This record gives sequence, structure tokens and C-alpha cells, in this order.
Amino acid sequence: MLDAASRDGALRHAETCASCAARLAREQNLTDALRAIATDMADLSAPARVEAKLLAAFRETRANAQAATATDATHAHDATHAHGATVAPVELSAKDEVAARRASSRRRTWRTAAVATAIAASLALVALVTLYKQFTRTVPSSQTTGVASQEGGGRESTPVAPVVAALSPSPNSAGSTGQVKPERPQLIEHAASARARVKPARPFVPRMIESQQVIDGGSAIFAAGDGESASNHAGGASKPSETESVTEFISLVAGAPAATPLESGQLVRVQLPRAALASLGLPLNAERGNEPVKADVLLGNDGLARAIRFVR
Amino acid sequence: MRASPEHSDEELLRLTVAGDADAFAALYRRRQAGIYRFALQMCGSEGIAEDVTQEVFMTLVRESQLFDPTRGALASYLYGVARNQVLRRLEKERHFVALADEETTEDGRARASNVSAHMADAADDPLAELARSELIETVRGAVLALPAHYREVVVLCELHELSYAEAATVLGCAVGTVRSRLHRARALLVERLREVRPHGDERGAATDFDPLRCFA
Repeated sequence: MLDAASRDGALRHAETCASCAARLAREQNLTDALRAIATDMADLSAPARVEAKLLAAFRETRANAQAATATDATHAHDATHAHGATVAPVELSAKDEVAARRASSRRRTWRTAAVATAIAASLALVALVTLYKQFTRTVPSSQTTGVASQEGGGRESTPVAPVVAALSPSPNSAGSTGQVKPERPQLIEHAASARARVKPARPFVPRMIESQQVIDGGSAIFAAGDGESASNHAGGASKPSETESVTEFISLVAGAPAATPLESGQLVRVQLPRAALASLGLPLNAERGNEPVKADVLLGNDGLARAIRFVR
Repeated sequence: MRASPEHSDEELLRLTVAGDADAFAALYRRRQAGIYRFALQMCGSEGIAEDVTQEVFMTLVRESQLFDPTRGALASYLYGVARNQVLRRLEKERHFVALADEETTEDGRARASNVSAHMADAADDPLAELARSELIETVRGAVLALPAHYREVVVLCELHELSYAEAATVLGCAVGTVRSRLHRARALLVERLREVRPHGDERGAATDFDPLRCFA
């Protein structure tokens, strides 16, 4: 909004300035057109049917509210009579009725929300129980007997697939190159395995599932030797992820006959302190002595660790 | 207490909340036209305008406690509800393209003839009034083509003659925002009208001249 002096000054300026005169004319044109629109539509209003619908809806809402209020009053009356109390008749004002209606509406909303929350919580609980049952069915109790993992406080374990493999001496399998050997897999006991001690089972908490390996019956080959790719020694099914390289399996069964067959078992991924390498007679890089090292532990059905291989 | 024309909006609302159907009817009759026109000018559809009007007053019945007299007049509150409803409808129907059905076309013709008749009554020069009615239709289309946040300011301040402060209350923004939006919206309208103005318009001839901006 301009004051009168500014307005007069602007109009005087427009008389001498073509640009401002043109702009003023455009603005006046627009203002005129907008005013004409407003005038043209001034007598427009909503059709009568809208009013009829609204009044009907208003009366219906009002009737429902009165019914609800009457029901509440009846309940309150019954309740007080049930308690033997005498109540003076109180006439609710319109404001009280509205407040009561709102409170009733709020109560209904809260009740609905509470029921929905309870249903959701129940469903979540059922889902959790189902998942837990499935998990415990998949991971037998023998998984908790990982020797190496306990020594190093390792937390990492792999969900286990049944292993159908056999351990028997077969030194000629060390140099295989990426193909699954058809002959029966064998385990060559490492020299250091005599020092490996199998400790009694202690519970440990599986931390993370990293990969799942399945060893075909009879196709896994465990042989001593230098660290090589897992694909050199195990079939495709037992091959770890391609970014990993693993050592040979090293037997952990001290003094047991090397040819003890292993019909089934589990492969558990664990994390060990690097010192475990030394305890198995493997070279240890002192500079990385604090870093943990990953390993796969082969467990028999009896829960004892049969062999271990290290993962890089 | 019965509703009467002397009652203020707030008193009528209080009676409405108390269940007085007459008060509700009086309040509706007093305010429905503005709400209906606002919705119509915002969306250009009579059907939507009807729905919005109905929904605004149903909201008033159902949730009258949401109205806070300390924050503004009831009319501003109703405009605010209508604005929200319109924006919601526009957003919902943004993905649809309206087909010009027979009824719509007839409505448009009827309105155009209404405008023409109105103008013709008001002046003796039918040709000039025809051009004027065309200009009005053009401006109406240009207003509808504005972005919603500019359109609502034009509709409230120019067509409904609300003050900047009232428009700011309706829109929930600062008065300065209303001013700047209105300025920008008018500039857009002028620009669009220059694009569509027919040749030979004597009044527009003066506006054809577009020299450099004057900094005087």
C-alpha cells in the first residue's frame, strides 16, 4: 500500500517515463480484469443440494451424539444404582455433551490403537518364536563345542550343513588342481596336531553368519600342505567364497587313528587369536600378532573338533 | 437462543456445537459462497468446489474444537480448511487429465454467455465488452495456470479482497511472504497475458512497448 505522496509522485513519473507508463498500464489492465472476475463470480454459490446434504449430515451426527450420550448416561445410572448410591439428576449442558462426545471418541481411538498394538506384538512374538525354532533346528547343540573358538574367544560361526565326508590317509591328494577328486577323501595328520588339545565344550555365542559351506559326501579332501586355494582341495559345493583362500585341513584328533571315517559333521567358521597358528606349528607373523584369524573347524557328530583350516 | 443474522460467526459456531441446526444453517449460508468461490477459483472445477465446500463444513461440525478464536476469525479458519482440502484434491487429481465432456463444455459456454450478458448489460459497446469478457476468461485461465502457492494468494487478495494479514493467517505464513508471492504472481499473470493478448487490442498497444527497466 502506497501513501498518497508516493502515489502522486509515481503517477507524475509515469507521465514522463514510457517504461513506467507501459508497466502501469499493464498492471491496471490486470487489476481491472481481476476485479471483473471477482464481480462476475460474486453471485456464485454452492448448489442447494450441498446445504441439504450438510444439514442431513449435521442432524445425523447430532442424533448419534445424543444416542451415545444417552447410552453413557444409562450406563452411569445403572452403575450408580448398582452401588446403591443416590444421584441427583444433573442436566448436561451442550458444552459438557460435546466434551463427553470427544472423550468417548478419544477413548474409542485409544482402545483401537491398543488392540492393534497388542495384535502386532503377538504376531511379532509368534514370528520370533518360529524363527528361533527354525534356527535351533538348523544348528544342533554340537555347534557349541568349537575348540579353537573358545580358546581365542572367537565368536564367529557358520551355519552348518551336514557334512558327509570321510577322513582317511591319502597323501597324494595334496596337489590336486581345482577338480573334485573321485577317490575317498583322506586326512593327513599335521605334525603339530599332536600338540593340539581338545578342550571340553564351553558355550560360545555365535556372532555372525558369514558363509555357508556344504561338503558333498565323499568329495571333500583334507590334506596337509601349504596354504592353497580351497578350490584346489574341495569340490565346488564346499568351495568358500572366491575372495577367500584357505589352508589345508589340519587334523585336531590327537592320537586317533587317521582313517577314522566321518560320516557327517559340521563346518563352523570361527575367529581365533593369531597365536593359535603357532600352537598348531604354523608360521606366525609377529607384526600382526594382535589380529584375529579366521578358521573353519570341522566338527563331528559327537561335537568334537576333528580338523581345522585357516581362512585368509 | 435462536440463530439470527445479528449473531457473529463465533456465536453461531457455539450454537452449532450445542446442536442448533438453525445456527449451522445460518453459518453455512453466510460463509458458503466465499468458500465455494475460493475452491472454484483455485481448482476450476465445480464438482471439486462442491465437495470442498461440503467437506469444510463437515469438518467444522466434526472438529469444531480445532478452531481457535485467538488465532484469527472463523472465516479465515474456514478458508484455511478449504485451502487444505483444495490442495489435497489437486494433488490427488494431478495425475489425471480432464476430458472436456459435454456437461463441462456446456457449463463453460453458459458461464461465458453469462459473462458476456453481464458485460453487455453494463455497457453500450457490445464489441468492446466482448473483448473484455474474452480478457476476463483469459485472466481466469491464467490464474488457474499459476502454481498453487501463487494462485492462492491471487485468489485471496485480489478476488476475495482479503487483507495481507488475513491471507497470511489463512496460508499460515508471514505477511511479507504474502506480499512477495502476490508481486511475483502478478508479474507472471502480466507476462502470460502479454503472450495471449490478441493483436489489435488498442489498450494493449501501450503495453507492447517494453523498454529497459526504469530505475527512477
